[in-house]
Amino acid sequence: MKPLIPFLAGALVALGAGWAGFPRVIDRARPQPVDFSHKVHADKAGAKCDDCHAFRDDGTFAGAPALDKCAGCHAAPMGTTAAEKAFIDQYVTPGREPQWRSYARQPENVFFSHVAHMKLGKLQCEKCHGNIGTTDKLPAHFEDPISGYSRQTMSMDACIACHRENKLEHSCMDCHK
Amino acid sequence: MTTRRAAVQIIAGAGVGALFTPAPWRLVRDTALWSENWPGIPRPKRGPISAKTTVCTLCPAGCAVRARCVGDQPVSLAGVNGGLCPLGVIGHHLPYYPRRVKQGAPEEARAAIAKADPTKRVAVLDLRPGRTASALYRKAMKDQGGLYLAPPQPGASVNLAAAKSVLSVGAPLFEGWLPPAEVFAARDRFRLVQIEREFSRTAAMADVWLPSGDVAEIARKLDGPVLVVDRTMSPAIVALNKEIGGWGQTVQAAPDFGADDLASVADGSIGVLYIDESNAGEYIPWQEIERKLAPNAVTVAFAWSPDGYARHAKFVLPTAVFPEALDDVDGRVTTPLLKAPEGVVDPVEFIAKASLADALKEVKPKEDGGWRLPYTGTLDATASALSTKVYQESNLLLAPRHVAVAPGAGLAENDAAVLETSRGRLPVRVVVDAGLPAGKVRFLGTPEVLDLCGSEEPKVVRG
Amino acid sequence: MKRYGMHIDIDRCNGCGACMVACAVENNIPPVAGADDRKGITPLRVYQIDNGEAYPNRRTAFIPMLCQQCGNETPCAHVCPQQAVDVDPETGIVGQMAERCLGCRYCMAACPYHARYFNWWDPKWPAGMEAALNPDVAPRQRGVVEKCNFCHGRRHAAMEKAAAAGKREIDPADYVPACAEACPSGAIRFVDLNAQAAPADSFRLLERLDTDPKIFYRSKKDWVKRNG
Repeated sequence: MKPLIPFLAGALVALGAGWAGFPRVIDRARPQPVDFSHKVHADKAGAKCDDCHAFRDDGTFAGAPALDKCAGCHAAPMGTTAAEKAFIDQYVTPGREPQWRSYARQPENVFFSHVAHMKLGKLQCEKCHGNIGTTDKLPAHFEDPISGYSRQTMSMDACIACHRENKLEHSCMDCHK
Repeated sequence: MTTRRAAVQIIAGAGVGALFTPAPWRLVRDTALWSENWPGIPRPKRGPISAKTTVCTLCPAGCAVRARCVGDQPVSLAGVNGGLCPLGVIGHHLPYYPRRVKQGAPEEARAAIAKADPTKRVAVLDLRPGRTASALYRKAMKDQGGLYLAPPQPGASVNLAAAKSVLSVGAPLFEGWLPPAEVFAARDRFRLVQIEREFSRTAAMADVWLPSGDVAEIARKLDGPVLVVDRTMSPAIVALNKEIGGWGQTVQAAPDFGADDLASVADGSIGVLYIDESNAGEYIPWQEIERKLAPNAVTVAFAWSPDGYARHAKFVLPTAVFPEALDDVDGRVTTPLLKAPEGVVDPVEFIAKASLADALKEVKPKEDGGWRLPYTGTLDATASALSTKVYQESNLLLAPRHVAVAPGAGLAENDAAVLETSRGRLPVRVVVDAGLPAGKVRFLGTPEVLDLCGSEEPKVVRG
Repeated sequence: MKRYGMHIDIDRCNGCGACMVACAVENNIPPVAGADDRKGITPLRVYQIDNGEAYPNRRTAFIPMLCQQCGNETPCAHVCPQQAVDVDPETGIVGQMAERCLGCRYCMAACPYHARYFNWWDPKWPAGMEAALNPDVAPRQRGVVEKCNFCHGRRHAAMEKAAAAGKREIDPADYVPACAEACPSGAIRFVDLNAQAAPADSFRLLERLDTDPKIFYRSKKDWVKRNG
């Protein structure tokens, strides 16, 4: 038993470090450039998801809105929050695009069609992105410093699980570039 | 002893314990993901995709082009009325030509022009006559008593669509002589007899190929309407067309570009020469121009490529290149797809002190009735980086500084050789082409080669 | 279910190379200044063939060569240790997944048509030209094998356009590979072989190997047919 104690001690330290310490180190919390509240915009502006996260005419998805969309209403302060004032001072007035951190960006070699999933797959935004529309603060963005992806990025297993269930597995080339 | 052993045991324990945590597996996965996104790999820009139409100005055919644009950037080009030629397909890469002329000294050029000998004449050499810009140059020269010069143009316009038989005496009918998509669209409506010593690409696609023949006799026997052509629509060929009744049907007079005849200009009489090389055309060997220049003549070349007259001119001013340039072909105006970089000079503004943009507003597309003026210049795609696919990564097209010789010339494939004329020598590489008749040499007529040859046939010797 | 293939008329090909450069533009293939004709990346390559005689009996023709999308026991798919080659049962397209490829080149040895090319080169473009890259195709690193995928980026765009209209079937006019679109003589035609059978006098290359390729060639010249 005695010879095993250092072994077990080492194992316990490693287990502790791996399970408790490692996750904290590997994912770095990063702030978004603007303290944006979906709830305020949904309630006060009556906005729905695709008012700002729109589809273009050819079906491609425009992603996070560009500064034009925000400046369309926020050319002047519409409320009294400090966050809005900071946004107008730092971004609208100088005409700088906010560098939003993406939660869901896939690698370059993935072809994901939003319109195919929403129109043909009849999925709601919330199914994959969660109930962001009712939150007052943007979800915390955890970035993995080695791979560069956010913690919330969907893995291919998640895509496959749903595709398999719906019998839509044909070829790698359907989703890969 | 015990402590060292304990240390080893602790480490071993840590190792085994770590395997039961997410750490090593996550690190392996992350390293793989990191390796996918190496910083050196460019990420294509995303953005709204739109289609914009313009006119390709890389040769006088002026094919209508549809550009697929991401945001404001064209990322691919396609022909509106059929396919484009290899030069046109990669035209949108020209702005990124690494050797592109970027800097010029327009103020110095203006100062030199102001100090030029007033007893000598001013001249404009317009490599692509027939544009709205050309009309502005002509007017400016007329006002100054200057000369408006252009390269030799074909002797007639042709209407291929109206022909049932075509007799071509060495004209590269299927190699860019006429707009490619139009020629092939009409292909099934005419029978082509190609008379040419070499078995060229056009000969390979002709219905009949003859290394030589009695042109007039063959022409008279063909099913009409007949069109007889040679590379430059020489007077003899035009006369033959008139004789067999094609005038007005398959052949008509070439448009008059109002150019003065270079040969009739007195030697040494030009004091200021502007060369608008922003659009390629038939290249006049430099020695023919040089002899008309006065001893201290000021030559200003407006070019984006350093390989043409930029090699000889005193001042080289950078111009916009397709698809940045505003220009027109046969009354069809281009839509610039990109902004020209800083430092670019507008030749029309500089030479004629006129606004091309304003003049183009008055231009209307013309009904051409199928008449086309053939292109007699050289098509060289090397300013587009991707042309390595055809010139270098495959042996499809003959590359610049390469010559094709017939077997039995004493030269082997890939030999270093020299292209030689009485004017000088140019080092080249050899390609052996068994389809060439003995003694014939084929090469790409780039400006440096044309300067070397002039009107002389070059020889290829071991180098 | 579709079976995408091509009808290529050799008599109409004049060897201009517009298809080759259009392919390079579409697939974000870098220009490789250091390459020669053995190390280049040309998923579509036009070869010049001749009848072997000397002038003046020499005749030449041009054959656009690309991945033949073999349907029967696809050789490259068989030998890949990484399962980086995938045959789509819905379209018949043999897809090369550069992201899975580890560059062993076994598939290059297996391909009887020499239609696969090893990417020897870092994806580098002249300064500024990266702005002109096609967003529908991902640039690849060096060290992987590439080949023609019948312009999968264009197929994706066609699928997305159909989905936007609520349809699952794409409009054939929306899916034309770059080479077929660029060819000025119309020598290359991209078709669904289930909808348009090849003309009776077509031949396929290396038929005796029984790979069931989907590229049908046509020529009226006997010597070309014999060579094929």
